[in-house]
Amino acid sequence: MGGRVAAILAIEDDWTVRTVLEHTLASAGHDVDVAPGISGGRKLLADGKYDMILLDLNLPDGNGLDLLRDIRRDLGTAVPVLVLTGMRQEDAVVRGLELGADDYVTKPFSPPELLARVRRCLGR
Amino acid sequence: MWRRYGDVTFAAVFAVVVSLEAVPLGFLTWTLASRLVGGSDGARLATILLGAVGSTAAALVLLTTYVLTYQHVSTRHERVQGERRRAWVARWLRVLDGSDVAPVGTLKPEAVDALLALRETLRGSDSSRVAELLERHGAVVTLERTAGHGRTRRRLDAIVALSNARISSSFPTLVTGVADTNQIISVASARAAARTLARIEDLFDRDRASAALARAVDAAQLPYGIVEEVVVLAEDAAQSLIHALLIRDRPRTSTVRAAIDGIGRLQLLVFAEEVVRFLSDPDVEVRAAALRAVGRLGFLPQAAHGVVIAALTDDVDFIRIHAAAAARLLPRPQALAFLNERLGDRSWWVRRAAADTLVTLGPAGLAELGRVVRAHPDRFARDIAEQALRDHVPTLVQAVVG
Repeated sequence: MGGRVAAILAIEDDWTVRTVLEHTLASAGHDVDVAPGISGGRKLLADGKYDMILLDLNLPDGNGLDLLRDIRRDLGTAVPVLVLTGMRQEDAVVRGLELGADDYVTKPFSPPELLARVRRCLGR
Repeated sequence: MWRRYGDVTFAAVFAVVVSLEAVPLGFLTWTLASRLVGGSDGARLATILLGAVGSTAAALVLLTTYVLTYQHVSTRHERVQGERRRAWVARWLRVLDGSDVAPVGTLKPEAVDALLALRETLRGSDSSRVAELLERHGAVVTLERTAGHGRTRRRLDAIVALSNARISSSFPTLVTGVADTNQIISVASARAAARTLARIEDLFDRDRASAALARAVDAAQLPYGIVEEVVVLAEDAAQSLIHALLIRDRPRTSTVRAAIDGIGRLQLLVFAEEVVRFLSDPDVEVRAAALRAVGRLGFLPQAAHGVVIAALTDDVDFIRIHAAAAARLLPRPQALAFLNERLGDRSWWVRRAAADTLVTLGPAGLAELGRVVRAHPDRFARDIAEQALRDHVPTLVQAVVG
């Protein structure tokens, strides 16, 4: 696949999307941790060091935008964040980018496109 | 999750519990009645009473045991099913990237579920390959067969699965389902057909499919809300479907309303001129839908200004409400003057719509509301203007009102 190998945290509640993210990123050589919600994501963020975060905005235990705000407050802009949103969620995408997300992917998504966006974020 | 499985067991338990209650109570009633006419002694009554209490206790124990066992078994079943589905998703992903081979023969239900979940999650060539796998393994044919016959629940599950699969070859089956006499099946089929239509990319095929769905939806006399939902679910094909719905010979009023509302919701500017035509429709509901759509599209040609101005004084309250919202598209001085007038309308809803629209007109609208609060002769107009300012721009109320 090329590009550098990174430790990536994916926070996503849908198990199919989670499995696809895990498989796609792992097959590109990345180390992937997954969390099904904000609380699980916070725990992993507190315990580990990640090069990049993939963040769903609609999570069962809260709004991903709140977590994004906290990530930018606590970690600054060093860790790129790629936001995952559903179709027709332009407002959420705009809000996410305003809060410091580096890029976004709309679901359903294409794995090659996801990898390209991840590579671009990691290359910045 | 309560009662997704085990209809037969549930029916058996229900029958036993009812019998345990009904039979002893019947005996008890008979014995009490006999005692009243002197035909039964106290010892027999006590025995039957004891028996009735005992059987009630047995019924309660049986019911509680069933509920607890069901919860345990179904939770375990769900977990095992979930794990199997996840394992299949992982396997299908390996098949897609070429690191594993596809299974041979008929697929297990969880393998089909995993493919359907992937079809919903993936886009592009991977999604197309998932559709191919579903077709190649016969899953689509099986679902189509199940969707057409049998018990309602099984048919519904199959229709929902086809809706997730969104495979164009299933479209005729789904359109046939729209005509089903069972309205649950008809509605589910219409939704599934609309979602499938959204995935038909060839423009010629899409137009033909849209015409077929429009015919089916109109003939099935689906309610307005469902037709509107169908239009929205058609996503990129909505334009083609709306065109097919509107060009039909004498379509039902509710179909026309749904199509017009769909135009507004999806912001399909290509139909803007068409919507304007419906502003003068004889049907009041269609006129209201056209006014709503005009407001949402933000397009009102000069030739239609008079129609909106006339609608502001229509006899029907909800026409005046939607006209007040659309009045923001009139030239600014006209909009301010007519909306000012509507602040004194006899209907609270029209007054509120006029005040809300004035807020959307920016500084000019806010200044107008301020003038109304200070100097309008009608107390109701003053109240609604002040309320709108408090709701929308609470920090500016003082500055605007003075």
